[in-house]
Amino acid sequence: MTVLHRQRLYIVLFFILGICIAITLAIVALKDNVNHYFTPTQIANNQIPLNKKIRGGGIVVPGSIQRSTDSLNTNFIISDGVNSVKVAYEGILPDLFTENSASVVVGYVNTQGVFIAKEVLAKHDSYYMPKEVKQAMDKAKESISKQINR
Amino acid sequence: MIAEIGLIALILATLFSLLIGVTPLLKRATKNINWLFATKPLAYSQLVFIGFAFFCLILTFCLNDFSVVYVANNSSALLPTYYKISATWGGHEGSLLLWAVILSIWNVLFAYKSDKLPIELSTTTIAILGWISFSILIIILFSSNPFERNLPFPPNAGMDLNPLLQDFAMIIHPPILYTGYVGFAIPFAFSCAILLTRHDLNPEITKWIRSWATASWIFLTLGIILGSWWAYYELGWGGWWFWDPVENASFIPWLIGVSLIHSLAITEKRKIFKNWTILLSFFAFIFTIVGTFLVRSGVVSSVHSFASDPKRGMFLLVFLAIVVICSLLLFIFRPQTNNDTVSFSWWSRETMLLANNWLLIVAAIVILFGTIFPLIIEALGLGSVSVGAPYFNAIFIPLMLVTSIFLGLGILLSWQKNKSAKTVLQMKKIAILCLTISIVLLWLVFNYELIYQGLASFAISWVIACCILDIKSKLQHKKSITDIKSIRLSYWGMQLAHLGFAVSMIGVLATSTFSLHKDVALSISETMHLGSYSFKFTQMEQKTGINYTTNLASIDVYHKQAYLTTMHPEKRFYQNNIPITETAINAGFWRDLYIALGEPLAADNNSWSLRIQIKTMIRWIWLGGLLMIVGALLSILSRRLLIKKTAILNDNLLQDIR
Repeated sequence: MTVLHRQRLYIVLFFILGICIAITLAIVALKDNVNHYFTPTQIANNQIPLNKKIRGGGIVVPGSIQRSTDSLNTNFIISDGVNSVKVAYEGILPDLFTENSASVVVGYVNTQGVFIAKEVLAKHDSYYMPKEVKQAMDKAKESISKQINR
Repeated sequence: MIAEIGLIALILATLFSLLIGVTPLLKRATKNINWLFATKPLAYSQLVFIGFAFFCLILTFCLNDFSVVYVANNSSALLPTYYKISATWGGHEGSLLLWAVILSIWNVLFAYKSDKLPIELSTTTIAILGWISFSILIIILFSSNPFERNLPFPPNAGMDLNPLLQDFAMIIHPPILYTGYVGFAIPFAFSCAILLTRHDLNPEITKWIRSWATASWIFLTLGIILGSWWAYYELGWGGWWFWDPVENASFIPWLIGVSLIHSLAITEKRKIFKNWTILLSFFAFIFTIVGTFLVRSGVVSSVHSFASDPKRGMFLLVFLAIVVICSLLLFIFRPQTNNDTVSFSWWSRETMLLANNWLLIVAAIVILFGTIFPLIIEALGLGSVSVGAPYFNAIFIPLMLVTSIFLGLGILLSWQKNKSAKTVLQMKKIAILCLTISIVLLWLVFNYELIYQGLASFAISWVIACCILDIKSKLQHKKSITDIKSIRLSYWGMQLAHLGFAVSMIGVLATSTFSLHKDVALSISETMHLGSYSFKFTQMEQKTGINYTTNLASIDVYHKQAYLTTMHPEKRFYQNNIPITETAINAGFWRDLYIALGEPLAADNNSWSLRIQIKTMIRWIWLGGLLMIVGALLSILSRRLLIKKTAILNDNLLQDIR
């Protein structure tokens, strides 16, 4: 092996080592930082991990938004057309958060089945429906139509 | 009528780009060199047609022609004219057309500047750019025609431009970002042409590509800085980077671009790593297309996503596949074979540059992985997930800290092999100095709790110390001003860009550690305190703007009891009653005061929720980016001054003709 060959070998080994480190880093980091999405139906049926950060989403039910007058607490209900979940949030809501529009919440579900939201997201574009919410609503509709057909 | 003229111009531009693409093939088929002399004029005419088509689209916006679907969806009669013009690239169709226009501009610039290159090489490059242009134009014509009419029942009013986009930054941010993005097509096409014509990547040619790569990197950096600043003041959250898929889509090519520029520097100076450099120039452009795909197909949920059509994604994906396959095949079958067989020791600048090159690629791959991970999970049917900012921070920050260590070493070590024992001694000294600084900071400022911040301050002080040490030793033997002037401009550019990197890191460190944040409910004449500042809510007025109504708040700010300023955050309501928060920012070198209005808490409009923040040293983040830009500009300028008129082989041209 010439000097040059040995050098090339080292470079290749170094690159492989780098890739291994990167993959390990990525997997470790992903394990803690991925938020799974659950539909209101799944949350209402308790098919969710307790005390783990999750994402939920649905349409904000008209007339369900209750704002406190002296603090930043807000309660509202999100629904996929069949089941619904109570959400409690303390903080400032995004501009596009309104009744009858889609919203995504990030947080925990407590033992009473209330979603304690740490973050509420509504999209830039008021015509845009988050993909997860749309799928959840389609799924819920499907299960209803199946029940009716029976 | 204008829309139809525009469409015809667009079709003609498509045909012309096809013609540009086939000229070198015709030359090869007929063995007639004259075909190559047609390439450049064809490229010029293509720009005329596509430019005219773009002009027609702008005109339809200005004339409120709502029978054109794209105009009806993105504009309204009340919109001020400058926003009507910027609305041209406010949606999918127009922004793709802007992509194509910018590509043609780059192509023409290249054609204009390439007289000194061998004709075969320059025309092949232009032809490849022509093929890229042709593909994009086909995608536009078949999946997203901006001139499509909504007949026979056109709406009589437009749906308005998304109010968030009605902002000054919208006028400049997308064109600049795209200029940077698309600019990577030049190094890509040039590398392809080098492999196709079996040309050697010699120092002159490398120098040439380096200028183009640096130029587009400058635009990309500026575009990213503008985007970050825009998100900061417009979205009302006070964040400056969200690790949103669309931000990542521009950041990944940026990281590869940094690698590419450095790798080009090695190839130019040391005549090694030729294949690696070529591969990087491929990657930079490939990731640009990946980025365009992520942004434009709507496959990822992002704050940038608007309602989208999967067909467009398919077109872009096919295009991406073709580019990847063709370029990699070319790379496998026609690699550069005349690498200089110089070896270098481990303890050399080459090693450090290579290490950082690799770390940047790793960072880019890991970010890409996090961005498309939700797609992979969904495709496998494992449910729906999202990857949050903590993932990206957990990976990107450690990588950057390691990068800064190598960066410092790379500056101090010499090429090939470090022979000076003095350098090593100095390195040890400054390492001890930096360690002391970070321990003192840990003790005084971070209270021993924030180990991460301690590590970061070590990395930052290391970079700065290495830069200063190198400048010092460079100036040591210079006795007079003229001696100092003899140092090349590109040297100062390099130092400035690296210091800019350190300044940005200081900004990130300070902002993420020391910023204060409070959401409150305030009634008129109430006061709240945050840090050493007090905020008094004094007044709420209702006003009317050009195409909106607004609630304008007045908040008096006091710093340690002394009156400082009055800030005016707004809540605007645009057409269709869409609310938009306009933040009030009091900017400063050491801190920004940031107020965003939430919503009224009582019917009488006298009590509002407010988000008040003090962002420590946030301007440093963007300032560092600007320093990097100035550094890169200096290095281009320095090379331009050095280029000799006689540079690249005219006899090559003669050989071609024979």
